[in-house]
Amino acid sequence: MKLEPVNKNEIIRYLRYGNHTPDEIIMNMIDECEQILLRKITPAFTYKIFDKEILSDKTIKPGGTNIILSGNDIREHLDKCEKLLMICVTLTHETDRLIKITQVTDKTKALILDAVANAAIEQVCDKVCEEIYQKLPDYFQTSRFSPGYGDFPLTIQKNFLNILDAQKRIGVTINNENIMNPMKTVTAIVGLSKHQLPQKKRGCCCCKNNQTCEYRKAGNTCGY
Amino acid sequence: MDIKSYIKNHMLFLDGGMGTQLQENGLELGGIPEMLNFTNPELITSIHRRYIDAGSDIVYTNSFGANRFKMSHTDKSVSEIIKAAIKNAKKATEGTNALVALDIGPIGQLLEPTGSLKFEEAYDIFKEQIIAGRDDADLIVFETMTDLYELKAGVLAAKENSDLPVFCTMTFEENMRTFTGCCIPSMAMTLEGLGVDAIGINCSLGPRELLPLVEELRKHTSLPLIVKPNAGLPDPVTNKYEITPEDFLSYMKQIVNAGASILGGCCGTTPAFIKIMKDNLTLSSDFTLPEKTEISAVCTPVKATFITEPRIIGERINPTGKKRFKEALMAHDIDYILSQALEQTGAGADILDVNVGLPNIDEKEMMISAVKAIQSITDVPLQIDSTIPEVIESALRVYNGKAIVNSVNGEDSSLETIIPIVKKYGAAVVGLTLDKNGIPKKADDRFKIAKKIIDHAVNAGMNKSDIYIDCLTLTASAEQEAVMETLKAVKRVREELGVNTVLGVSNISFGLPDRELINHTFLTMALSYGLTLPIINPNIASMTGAVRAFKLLSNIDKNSAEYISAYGNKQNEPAKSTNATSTLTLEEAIEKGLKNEASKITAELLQNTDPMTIINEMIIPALDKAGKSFEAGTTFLPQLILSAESSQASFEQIKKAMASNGEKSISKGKIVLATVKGDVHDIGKNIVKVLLENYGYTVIDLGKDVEYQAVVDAIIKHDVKLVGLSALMTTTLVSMENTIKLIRENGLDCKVMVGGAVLTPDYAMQIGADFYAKDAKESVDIAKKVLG
Repeated sequence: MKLEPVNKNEIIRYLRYGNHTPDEIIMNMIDECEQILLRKITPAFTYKIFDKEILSDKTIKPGGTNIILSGNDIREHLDKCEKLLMICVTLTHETDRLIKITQVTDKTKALILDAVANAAIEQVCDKVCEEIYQKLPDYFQTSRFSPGYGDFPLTIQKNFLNILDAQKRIGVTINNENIMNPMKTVTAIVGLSKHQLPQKKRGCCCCKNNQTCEYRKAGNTCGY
Repeated sequence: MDIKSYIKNHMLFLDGGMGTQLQENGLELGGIPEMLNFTNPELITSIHRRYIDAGSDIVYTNSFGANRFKMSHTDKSVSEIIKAAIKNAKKATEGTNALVALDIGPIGQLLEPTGSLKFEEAYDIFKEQIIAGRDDADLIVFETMTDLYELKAGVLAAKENSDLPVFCTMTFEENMRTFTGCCIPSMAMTLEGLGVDAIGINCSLGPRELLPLVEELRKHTSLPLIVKPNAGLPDPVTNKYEITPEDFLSYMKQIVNAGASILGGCCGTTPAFIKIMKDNLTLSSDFTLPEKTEISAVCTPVKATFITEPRIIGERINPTGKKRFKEALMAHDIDYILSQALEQTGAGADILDVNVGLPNIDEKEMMISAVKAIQSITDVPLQIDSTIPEVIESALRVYNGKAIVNSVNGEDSSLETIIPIVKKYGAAVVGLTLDKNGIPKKADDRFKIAKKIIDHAVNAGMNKSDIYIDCLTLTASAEQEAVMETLKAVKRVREELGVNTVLGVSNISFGLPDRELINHTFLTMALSYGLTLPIINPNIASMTGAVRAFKLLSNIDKNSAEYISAYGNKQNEPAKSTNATSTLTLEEAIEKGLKNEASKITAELLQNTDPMTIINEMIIPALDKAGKSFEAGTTFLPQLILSAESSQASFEQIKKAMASNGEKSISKGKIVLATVKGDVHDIGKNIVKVLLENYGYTVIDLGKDVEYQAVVDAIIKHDVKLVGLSALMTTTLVSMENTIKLIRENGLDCKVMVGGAVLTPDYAMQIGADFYAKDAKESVDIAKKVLG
């Protein structure tokens, strides 16, 4: 899978510009950093599809695994679905390395590379999902829901990566503080159903951080 | 069976997939297979037995993840699990000749610098597993490894804690690299150097995809090859592997023809796969392993450097004669060393010499830090420059790949202490043609010492291609007749002994005017006499130019391709105007974020302006202005950093000037900075560091994922009154709180400021911080408040 040109507005948002436009020097650096990433980085991803299993106490889990998807928000999100798609997408260690090496001589560029990478990975997730959906023409999909959203705990991340065999398939690991390595890595669940799914609420109203969010304070969003 | 000799001319069959067998027998995904050694030992034994019946000569114990990191949530110790796994395997081998391999997989956490697990910790984790299994297993196997550094820790743990044979297989992608970028030649030369008994590839791909990788691996090692492919690639929807035993066999036949002799299967394979191989595959009667290579090579995991043409060794990481570098070493300024490394690789160095020897510093600790830091930002192999055995050993231990040691000499004590270290870690070595009588005047006498060094090293078991000879560059102004003797020695050594030759070129011109001209000419002469590894300053264009031109003229650079690509466009570029910057003030350069201009202007200013005036009347006001406009929201973070980096460039000029005048640099006070334990995000913290340094504070940067105690120790050691802690994740806020708690418990007279995206003023107060820095600029304001 190749990286595609990255949405500039997203990059600018990650650089905390809010509604302002960066000057020419910074815009040129953004273009330069985007080109570097497009040239050097090949994202990697892995996924598995499970049946949704509902246990006697109404909690849900991917069939044939031992991980409980705890919290009300994920259960609601997957409410009318029969199957679960679990994905892990990464911009690989190369991206982390590129940012790290750039920091030695040019911290501004490193900051911008970081922002471009953050914007890029969301696009990669979109593209990965599109590719997968093409293999499942009979199914409708929910939006992506990641550990850490709402009351879907981050602590599930280790097991998530385990059942995807992420270390072996795409070289993704996690430490005891639930920080994934490579850093530009996203995990998510998508619900699949043979029937049309209702539109779900998204955005600041449903988020746990809506009182403290830095983005919100500056008049931005994190993109959820 | 004596495995080590058996595998030299016999085929061996390993087993097949265990995980897939367990899943078919009801193990849930996410469950811990190693625990089945206790809950269902008969199942494990029966799976092993089925493989042995199908023809496996070796079974791998069900202990792939049995390390203290992965087993931390179980109620069994690593030792208990491994002993149980071996017991179950041994039960299956009863009454057969099958052997039991202690199976060790990846730890599950990545090593530094990609991750935060220290090399030494990884060693301990593996050591625990080795000790648990060494008495009962027949051999040790490391499999599914993707990080050469991690594998090195494992191999050292195995070789230092047991006598068992060691097999290693790594997992590659179709692009012929592992996830951490390790290439096949680097894997081969590093593992062979460490004394492993067989190497190869397992998992990830099916036999069809692995064939080209096996062919490549065969070219780069003389060891027996292990190939243990998956049953093709799994279908992500059904999780089934689709290749049949018959298909598997047809590709394995080709893999045997390619030179592999230790065969098995990985994910998705079953006893049927082993049986069909056992029934159909044999070694040809004239099978032999290749001879050891005659080609000199060194490497990092990502880059294998073959010395089949002259290769440039960069000399700049060396305090000799460099005041600024000495100052950086005394201040433990790793960033300076890193910038020197990158400058040299950017200029064309193929290998970097690393010398951090200075009285009054802990050379061993500095060398370890330097090697770890440099190898985290560059792919170029390193030359460890020291003659102290302890320093050499420590460096080789933590080096990732195959390094060069500079140096041994012809004196017996040098050879006897250093060659064993070089051999143990599989490095190459530079031999200096001097001995206890000093440097011989005549070329023939230097040649004699060269021969002595090579003979000694080869007798000690080293490969001749790993010995490089330095015939010693003397100073032309003091010993003019010696120059041609050096060159004659180089010629004889190259032609008659067939080894690569090294010279520290810059020594030739010491004391003469226009040193560059002498260095350049001597280099050119030496290359034509057979010099292959010149140690030079690659930042000097005429020096790298000489090497490039030589390669063209000696028909190495075919079609002059590299030369043209390096110099071809230069005619068409107009000479850059040097006048454009003279109208810019330093303040403007900083405000606009123009690094090069800021640097140039400062260099000019220093000719007639006092450094303190430049700092206090130009740099600081410019930074203040940039900061104010950032706070007002008219400029943004990238611009603030550009300004900060420009003033940093200006400061670098000032530091250089002050160092050469013997002045100590000024400091407004010391601040410890750290990204807390468990957190690895450090861009923000690094930006704060640059800003604080620009304002004249000395920053002690502890890095990321810093232990609570390390923060406390640093505060005490440097007698610091302000510490800055950074965390980016909600999950690591707890670490921040604990760090602060420990600081308070120790009753330290130190203020704490905290910053990071998840923090708020309320939370900062809640966890006991004194200040909350909402951005990099505010950290400077806080520093002013606390330290003045």
